[in-house]
Amino acid sequence: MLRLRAVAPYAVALLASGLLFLVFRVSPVQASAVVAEGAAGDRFAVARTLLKTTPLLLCGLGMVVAWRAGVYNIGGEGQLLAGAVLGAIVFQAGGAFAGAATPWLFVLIGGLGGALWASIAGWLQAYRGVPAVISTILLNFVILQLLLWLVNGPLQDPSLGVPLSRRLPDVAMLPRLDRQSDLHAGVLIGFLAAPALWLVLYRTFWGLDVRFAGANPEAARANRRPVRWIQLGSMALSGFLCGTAGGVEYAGSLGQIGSGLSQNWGFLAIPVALLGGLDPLGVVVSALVFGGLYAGSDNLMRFTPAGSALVTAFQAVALLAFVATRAELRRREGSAT
Amino acid sequence: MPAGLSVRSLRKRFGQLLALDGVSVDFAPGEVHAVVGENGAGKSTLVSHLAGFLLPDEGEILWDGSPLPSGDPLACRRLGISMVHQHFTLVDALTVLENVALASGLGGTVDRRVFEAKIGELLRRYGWELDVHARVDSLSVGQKQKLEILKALWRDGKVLILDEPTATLSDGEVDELFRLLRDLAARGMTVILIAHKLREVLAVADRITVLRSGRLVRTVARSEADEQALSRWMVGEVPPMEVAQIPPRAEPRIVIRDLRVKDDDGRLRVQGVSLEVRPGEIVGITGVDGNGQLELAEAVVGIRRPEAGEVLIDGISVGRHTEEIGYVPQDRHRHGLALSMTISENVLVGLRGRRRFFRGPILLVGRFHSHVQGLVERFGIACRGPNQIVRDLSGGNQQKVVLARALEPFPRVLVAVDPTRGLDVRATMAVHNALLSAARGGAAVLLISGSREEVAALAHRASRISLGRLEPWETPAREDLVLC
Repeated sequence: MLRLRAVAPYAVALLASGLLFLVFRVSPVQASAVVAEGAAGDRFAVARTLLKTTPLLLCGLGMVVAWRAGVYNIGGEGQLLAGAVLGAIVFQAGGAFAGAATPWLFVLIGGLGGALWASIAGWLQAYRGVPAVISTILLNFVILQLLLWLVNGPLQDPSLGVPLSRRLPDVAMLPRLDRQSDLHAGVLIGFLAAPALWLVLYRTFWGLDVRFAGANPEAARANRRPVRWIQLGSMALSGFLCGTAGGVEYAGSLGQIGSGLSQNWGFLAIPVALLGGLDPLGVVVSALVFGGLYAGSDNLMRFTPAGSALVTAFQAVALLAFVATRAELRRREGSAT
Repeated sequence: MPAGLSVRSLRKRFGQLLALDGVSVDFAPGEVHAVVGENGAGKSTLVSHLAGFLLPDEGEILWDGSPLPSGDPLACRRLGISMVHQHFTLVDALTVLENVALASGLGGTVDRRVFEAKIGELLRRYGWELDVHARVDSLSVGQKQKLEILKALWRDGKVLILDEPTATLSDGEVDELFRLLRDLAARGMTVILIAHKLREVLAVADRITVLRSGRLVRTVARSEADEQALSRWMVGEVPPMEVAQIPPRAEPRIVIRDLRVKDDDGRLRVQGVSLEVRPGEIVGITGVDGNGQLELAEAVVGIRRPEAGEVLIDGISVGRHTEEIGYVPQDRHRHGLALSMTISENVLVGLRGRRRFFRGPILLVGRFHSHVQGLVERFGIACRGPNQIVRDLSGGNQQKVVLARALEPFPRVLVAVDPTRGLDVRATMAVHNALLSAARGGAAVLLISGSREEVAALAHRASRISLGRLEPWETPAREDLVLC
């Protein structure tokens, strides 16, 4: 039953997107082959998939920890940006440092930036009763405008006529894992973070606190648990994970920030987290699926008339299928007394 | 064929569990018919069939001699069969009028004045007091129940089914409800109710059906039954109640001085309470719900900051002691448990001295699992194991999880609010024995309960709470009490 529950939504989504392909007069079989080729056809495809999976995975894990605590963080995008922006500010202020630890320091700085940004929303919900759903949306706008101002002003590389910050020197970039592709060591972080978060959520008392406060905050309080503190802490960790994604993008792939920094990974992380069943290990699977689809859809755009719009449609269909399938399975298991 | 509802050889299975095993009962017009039995005896399953919520596996249900449209609650409602559930199905943010309109099933547009006049007429006919423009969240529990019954009567009701209607009512409200049910029966309705308290059953019912483990034990007229006989039919043998012993004189462990506490809306609900509880002593507070019990309990366990006054545990302010206090909150669903989580997780979250189950920050799963396994056995929690989701347990077993957490390891202070609300005879006995053994073990026990019988039977001293103040209360003689 558990297996079926995990697989069924993907299967339904696949069927539905097959129909979608037919509408656009593309053979579903051929389209699937094109997507699969682009996602895993060769080492470059695999590298692309892993690079796209990483921010989805880290932000998805961030969503898991906040949502499990009952704090509905939808500001993963803003926290990712905050992480990259703080890295760029530190670089501008302090320059490049020597040593192999430098790029990892930028990843850490990214995490701290995200944690700080998310803590604003966490504090507002825990101590002032402002729902995180509202505050995180607004904070997304704030950080985006802050980013645009920074790259058009104080952080802009004077030698460039475009809104981009100074480029990190190669020694400050995350090491490559592969000579030919762009695959960098940052992709390891997400795959290490997932089991670590699982351990925290299911094997530590703080993790129990988080899940219990999310399941029934009133009961957590009656059991003398510091619910507000738990909410704030889970939001800080959530922001830390999203900010880490920003740090990895900055010190791994981009090397500089600009007006195009926002790629919506933080928003896409929400369906990724939900499809993963708000479980850290489930999120690994759904992030890989989404990452592969994004990588594969580049091919789809080239070879079919449907383009990447199909991927967007696929996400929506997959999410609906997931929610609907899970609700149906629950209804059938239904409570009969 | 008899008029009214008849059940013939009804059989219903849920997975492994045979919930009803060949039950036959007749429910006649003009009678109040009580269905009694322990948790899990099949009471709710039986009445859910009558209201069309379940399809029988075998057997039949007849309505005035023809088959009932089983499995179709709307069709049953159209026939005049309505059910009032234990947990209210009301919209808090809407008024009484709007809730009735919502349930009336009227489509299209509704003329508010005509509707209002019709409700007014209905209320007058039964002589009820209910402000139709009041929002539901401003109503008392008793008034909400009236509203539920009003919804059921709207469509010319012929059969009214109530699932444990008295579980959350005060004694006064219970009396009023029973007058109302008698009145409805006198007008020719069939009133079917599930109840736990046998004294109440004998006060209101014309006939009583006793179920045990899904089987019909017997259906008897009220004159043929008394409490001893009913509980014997329900559970077999009932073990005798232990009597509380007077504790030795000692320094008070809980000292409450001139305590004033506000509720979430800023209203002063506890208005100057002073109290002492010594180790080994059970001090009772009884009274009608909503007189400051919740706020008092929360201040004593340290989760609600008092406006004035203080709570001392062994001479130290309660804020530093919260982890050493066992707490059985009034509403186990709202305040006690996370229903979507396991027994283990619900125990661990409030466990005192939990450090021994951790190495550094990591939970020692095996060691903790066997600890909870031990609790399950000691407290007799009927479950598949420590990893079962709490929602799937019966009410009595859920309460045992709350108790196991509060009592193990032994607390120095135990605060219990309505610890047996909604429990059957056997589970009530288990809870009472647990409270007594906590006191014998040296805990200072504060028992806050709406049940006067419970307080009188267990407490060494007791008072009554009214509008946030304690009043002296004359404990009734023990011989006059019936507990269940």
